[in-house]
Amino acid sequence: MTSLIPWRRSSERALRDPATFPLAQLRWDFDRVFDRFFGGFGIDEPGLDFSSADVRMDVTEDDERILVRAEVPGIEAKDLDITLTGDVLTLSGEKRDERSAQDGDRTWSERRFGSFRRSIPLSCAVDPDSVTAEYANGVLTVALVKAEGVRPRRIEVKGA
Amino acid sequence: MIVERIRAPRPAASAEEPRLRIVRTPAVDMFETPQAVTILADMPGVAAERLAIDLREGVLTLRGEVDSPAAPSGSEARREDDPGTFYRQFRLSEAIDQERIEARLAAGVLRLELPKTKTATPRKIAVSTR
Repeated sequence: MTSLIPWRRSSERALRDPATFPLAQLRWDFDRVFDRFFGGFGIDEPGLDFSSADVRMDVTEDDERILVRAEVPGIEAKDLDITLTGDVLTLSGEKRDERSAQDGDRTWSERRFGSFRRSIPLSCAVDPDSVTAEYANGVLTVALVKAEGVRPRRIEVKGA
Repeated sequence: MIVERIRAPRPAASAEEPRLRIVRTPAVDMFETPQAVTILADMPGVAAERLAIDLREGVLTLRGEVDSPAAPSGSEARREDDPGTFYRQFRLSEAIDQERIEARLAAGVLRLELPKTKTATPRKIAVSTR
């Protein structure tokens, strides 16, 4: 959905970064709900800057691991940056315009380019040496192993 | 219009995908030269074998299924959405040579090359002066 309020003015860019402005996330969530409900009124979204809110992320976990999945199509692995600070995982990167000279004039534009940055708090401490990241089909998957102390332990009940 | 975007099409359930999934419209860019139209579509998470490109009666349909990551057994801490199905349709005019369409999928971005037919490609006609 094209925002009714011109949030995307560059001077207001910081407002869209959840790290500096927590409501950015909320606002994005509202947009998504709105889009899903109304189908965006069938309006094609114009090309806009690629921003943190455009990076769709899923976090799943089990007793051992946390898996973070981020959709970052068209980004080269070398343009992705992953950092772990305490229990906050930050993904940043840059998506470049892959138009080549022989493609000619752009007649329609919806895809986004530019840099993005998104931080997510993890649900518990993780082992910083265990982090692995894989990029396939435009999806980045980061796997983190939970720290020894926070994994659930099964406690056996002894019968009398 | 040589390639027209069809708005809000809905995929039908198929034998392969009987389950109703969230339908997502991939963002596209389009380019045009005198010889061809190029479409770039963002379809993150779609593997080549899960992408179907169908052309019938002048309608080009893109359908890509996103497989959920090998979810760790157990609960989901936070899931924004079912990654769903990417689906989009385009109506191609006669100016596109439907026999010569090429598709390439890399890093979750589909590149479609739609060459124009010989008659639709502008041609300079040399004037001879003897």
